[in-house]
Amino acid sequence: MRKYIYYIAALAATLFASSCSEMMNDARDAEVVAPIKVAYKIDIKEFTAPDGSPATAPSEWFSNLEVVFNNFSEGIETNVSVGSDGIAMAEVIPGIYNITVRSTQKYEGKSYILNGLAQNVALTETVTSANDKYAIHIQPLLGSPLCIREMYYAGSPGGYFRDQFYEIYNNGEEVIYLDHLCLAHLVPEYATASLPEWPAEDGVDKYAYAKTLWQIQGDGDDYPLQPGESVVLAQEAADHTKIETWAGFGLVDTSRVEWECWSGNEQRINEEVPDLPYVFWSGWIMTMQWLTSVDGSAMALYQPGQNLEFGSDYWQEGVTTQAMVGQGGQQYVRIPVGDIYDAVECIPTSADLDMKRIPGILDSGATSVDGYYNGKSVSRKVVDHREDGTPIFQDTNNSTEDFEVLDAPEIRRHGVKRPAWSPWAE
Amino acid sequence: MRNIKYTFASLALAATLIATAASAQEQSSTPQSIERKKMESLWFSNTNNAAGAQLDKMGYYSQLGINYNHTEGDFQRTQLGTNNNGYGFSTDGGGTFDNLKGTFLWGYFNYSHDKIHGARYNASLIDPLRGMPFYLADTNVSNWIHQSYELGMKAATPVLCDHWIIGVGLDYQNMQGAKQIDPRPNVQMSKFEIKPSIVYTVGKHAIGAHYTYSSRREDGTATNSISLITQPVWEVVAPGFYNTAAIGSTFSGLRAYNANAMGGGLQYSFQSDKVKLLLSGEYTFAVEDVNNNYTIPKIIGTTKENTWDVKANLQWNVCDDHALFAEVEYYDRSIDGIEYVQVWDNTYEVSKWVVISKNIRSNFSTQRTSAKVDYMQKKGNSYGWWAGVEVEKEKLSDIYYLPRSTQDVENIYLSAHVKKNFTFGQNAILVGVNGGMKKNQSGELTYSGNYADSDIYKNMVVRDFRYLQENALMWGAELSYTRGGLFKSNSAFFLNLKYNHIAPNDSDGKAHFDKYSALVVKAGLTF
Repeated sequence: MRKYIYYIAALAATLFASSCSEMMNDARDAEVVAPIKVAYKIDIKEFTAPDGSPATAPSEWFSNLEVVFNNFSEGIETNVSVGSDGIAMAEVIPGIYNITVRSTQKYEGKSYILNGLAQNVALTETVTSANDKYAIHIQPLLGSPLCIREMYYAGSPGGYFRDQFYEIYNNGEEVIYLDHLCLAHLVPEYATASLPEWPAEDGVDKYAYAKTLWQIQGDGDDYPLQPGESVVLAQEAADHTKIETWAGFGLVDTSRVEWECWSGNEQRINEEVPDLPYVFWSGWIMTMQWLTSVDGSAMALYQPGQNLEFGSDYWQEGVTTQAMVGQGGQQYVRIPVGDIYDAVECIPTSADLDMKRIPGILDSGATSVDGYYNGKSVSRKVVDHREDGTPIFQDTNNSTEDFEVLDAPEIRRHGVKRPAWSPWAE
Repeated sequence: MRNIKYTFASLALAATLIATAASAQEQSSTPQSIERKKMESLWFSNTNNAAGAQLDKMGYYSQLGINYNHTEGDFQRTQLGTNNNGYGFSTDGGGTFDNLKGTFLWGYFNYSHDKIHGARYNASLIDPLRGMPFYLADTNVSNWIHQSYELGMKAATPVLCDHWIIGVGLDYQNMQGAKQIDPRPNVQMSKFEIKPSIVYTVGKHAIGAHYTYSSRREDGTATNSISLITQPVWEVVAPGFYNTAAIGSTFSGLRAYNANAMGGGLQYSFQSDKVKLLLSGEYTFAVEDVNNNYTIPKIIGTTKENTWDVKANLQWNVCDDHALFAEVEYYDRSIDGIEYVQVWDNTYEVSKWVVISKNIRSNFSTQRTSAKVDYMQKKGNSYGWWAGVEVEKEKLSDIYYLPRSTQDVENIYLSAHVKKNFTFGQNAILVGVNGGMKKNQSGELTYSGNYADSDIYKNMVVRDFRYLQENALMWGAELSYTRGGLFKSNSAFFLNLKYNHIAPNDSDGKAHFDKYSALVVKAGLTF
C-alpha cells in the first residue's frame, strides 16, 4: 500500500513539476515586440453591370481605395493606400485586426458599394508578398435604396423592452414594393468573438443566417413605399409611454405603427395594428413576445420573391436553411448575402467590434448604444434632403459610420413620411 | 466556514508554540527585548534559510497582540484609497527547544481586517500595486473590504554530524477582497510557499543554501448587483494602455491569476564574540498567467518576474553594552508583461482560443540600493537606546514597447530614528521619533498611446507619476508602555502607539496633494 502511495506521490510531483516548468518555459520564450510589415491583397471580383453583363473593376477604382487596419483591442488604426497592383502594405504592431475596405464607386452611371472586411485576422509576422491568406475579396454590389433607418432595441431604465421597434425606409428615388420583404433576426443572437462553425460547403461570407424571419406578405404591389417614406415594425403595438415601470414609463408610442411582430401572447393583442407573420422561427418559439437582445442584435432586410409559410416545404436544409456544425441539427434561415438589401449590426459597446458576427460585405462596421436599458436608439445620419424635404440618409454598409446614437428613440424623425396605405395615414 | 477552520487551526498552532516557548523561557520578555533579539538574529531576520536560524541562538520568545490602524490622506497611490481603517490579531514565537533535542521551531499567525475607503481604478486585485499590470479598472470610487489570514513556520534540525543543519520554512496566506460598489468582485487569494534549506558549518564559518517554491492563486469576477445598468471598465494591460468594455453585457468580468515561482539563495556567515557577518543572495523567477474564463480560457496576459536580492549584514559588538548593526542591500525586480495574439477556433471539435503568438509588450523595473546603520546601547536583554540612519536610492523604470511609452523615476530617501527606553522597575516607557526626506533625482513620463485624454490616464497614470516623483518630508513618533512581571514573572503587557506622517514639501506638490498619515495602536502580551 505504501508503495502505491509513493508512486502516486511521485506521479503527482512529476505532473505538477512539468506543468509548472511548461508555464515557465512558455514565458521564457517570449521576445520583445517589434513592428511587422504586412502585404494585403485587395481582390475585386467580377460583378454584374447595370445592363446585366459581367464586368471587371476599372483600374481607377483601386487608386481610390484605402485599406484600414483596425486593432480594436489596442485602439490603433492604420490607413494605407492600395497600389496599382492591388496590394496594400502596412506596418503594424502584432495583433488581431479587422481589415476593411469601404468605398462607393460609379460604373456606367450607377453606384456600386465596395465593402470588404477580413475580421479578426492575426497579423503576427512580416509578409512582404501577397498571398491568398492575406487577401480581401470584394463583391461590388449595387446600392440598395431600402434600409433600416432606426432601431430601438436597448430598452428603457426600469428594464422595459416592449417598445422595441425597427423602421424601414426608402432612401432611393424610386418606389419600392415591400411585398415579400423579410426582416431577419440574424445569428448569433448575441455578439460574440466565439463564432459558430457552419458547414464548409457554405463557404466564407457567402451566407448570413437568421433565427427568426418576419415577412410582409402581399401580391407584389400591395405595399408601395415611396422615396422618403418609412414603415415601422414594432415588437408590440401599444402606447408604451403610458405603461409604468418601477423606474418610470416606456419611451415609445408604437400604437400607430404599420405592423407588430406578434408571436402568440393572447394577453397582448392589439387588433388595430396588423400582425406580421413569422415565417421561420428556429427552435423554441417565445410566444410571450419577440424580444431581441437589449445588448444589440444584427438585423437584415431581404426579399425571397414569394410569400413564405411557417413549416412549409420551402424550408430545405442546405438550400433555404442550414444547421451549425455539431449543434444538434437546429435549423436557421440560410440567406445568400447577394439577396440582402440592408443589414445592421449592433454590439454591446463600441469597443466590441471584434465581436462582429455578420459578413463585412453586408456591414463592415457595427453600431452601439454602449449599454442597455439606457433608452438610447441608433438612427442613420442625414446626409442630404430631397426637394420635398424628406431626408436622405447615409448608407455605406458601414454602421459604425452610418449611424448615430440618440438619447431617445423616435419614429419617423427628420421629416420622414408615412405611406398613404398605412392604417394611420391622415 | 473554510476560513473559520483555518483560523482555529492557526490559533491552535500558534498557541502551542507560544505555550511551549513560554514555559521554557527564563528571562523576562518585552517587545523591546524581542526587537533586539530579532536584530541580533541575522540569519532569522535577513534570509529565507530556516536552517540558519539555528546559528542565531536566539533563545525563545512569544508575543501576541491585537491592533487597530487608521490611515488618512491623499498623498499615496490612487488605487490605495484615502481613508482606511483596520484591525488585526497577530502572534509569533518559538526558539530552540531542548526537549526536542535542540530542534528549532518558530511559527506565526496574523489576521487582519481592513476597510479601504475611496479606492479607484481597480475591479480585480486585492493588492493593485503588487506588480500585476493585467487587471480591470472601473470608473467608480469604491470601498473595499480586505480580510487576510497568514500563518507559517520555520523549523531546523540541531547540528547533525557536527556540520549539517537542515531546515524548512512554510508559509500560507489566504486573503479575500470585496469591492463595495458595482462592478464588484469578491476576490479570493491563496498562496503557499515552501523553502527547504541547508547549512554547513565549520567553526566560525557557515555556508547555506535554500530553495523556494510558491504557488499563488487569485480570482474574482466583477459583477453588477444592479443588473439593469452596465458598468464601463478598462481592461488594463499597462498604465495608459487598455481596452474598453462593459460589465453586465457579454464581457467576462472574471480575472483568474495563477502564479508559480521558483528560486533559491546562497548565504555565508562568520560569527565570533565580537562580530557577526552575513552575506546573502537570493534569486526568484515567477510566472503568472491571467485568464478570463474557467471553461473557455482566453489568456489575458502573463507576467515574467526576475528578482535579485543581495545583502550584507554586520553586527559588531563594540563592547559589552554597545553594538553596531549595518546593512547594505541591492534589490532588483524586473517584470515583463507578455501579451498574446489569439484567435477563436470555431471548429466544433476544438472550439477554443488558440494562441498564435506572444510578445513581451511591457517591462516594469524596480532597483533599490540601500544602506543603514544602527547603534544600540544594550540593557539587560533589551536596550536602553537605539539610533540609526538609512539611505536608499530607488529607480523605477516602466516601458511599454509599442507604441513606445516610458516612465522613469529616481528618488533618494534619507531617514533617521532614535528610541529611548525608560525603565521604572517592572514598568517601561519607550519613546521614539523618526524623520526623513524623499528627494527626487529625476522623473520623466512619455506617452504615445491613444488615451491621453481618458479619465484613467489623467487621474491615475499622470497622478501616480506625479506622486512618485514628489519631494516629501516625513516624520513619526512612537510611544510604548510595557508592564513586566505578569503571570510567571517573565511575561509582559504592552500598549504601543505609532504615528507617521508624510507630506509634499514644495509648492508644486502641495498644489496636488495634501498628506498621508498612519496611526497604529497595538496591545498585547509577550512571553
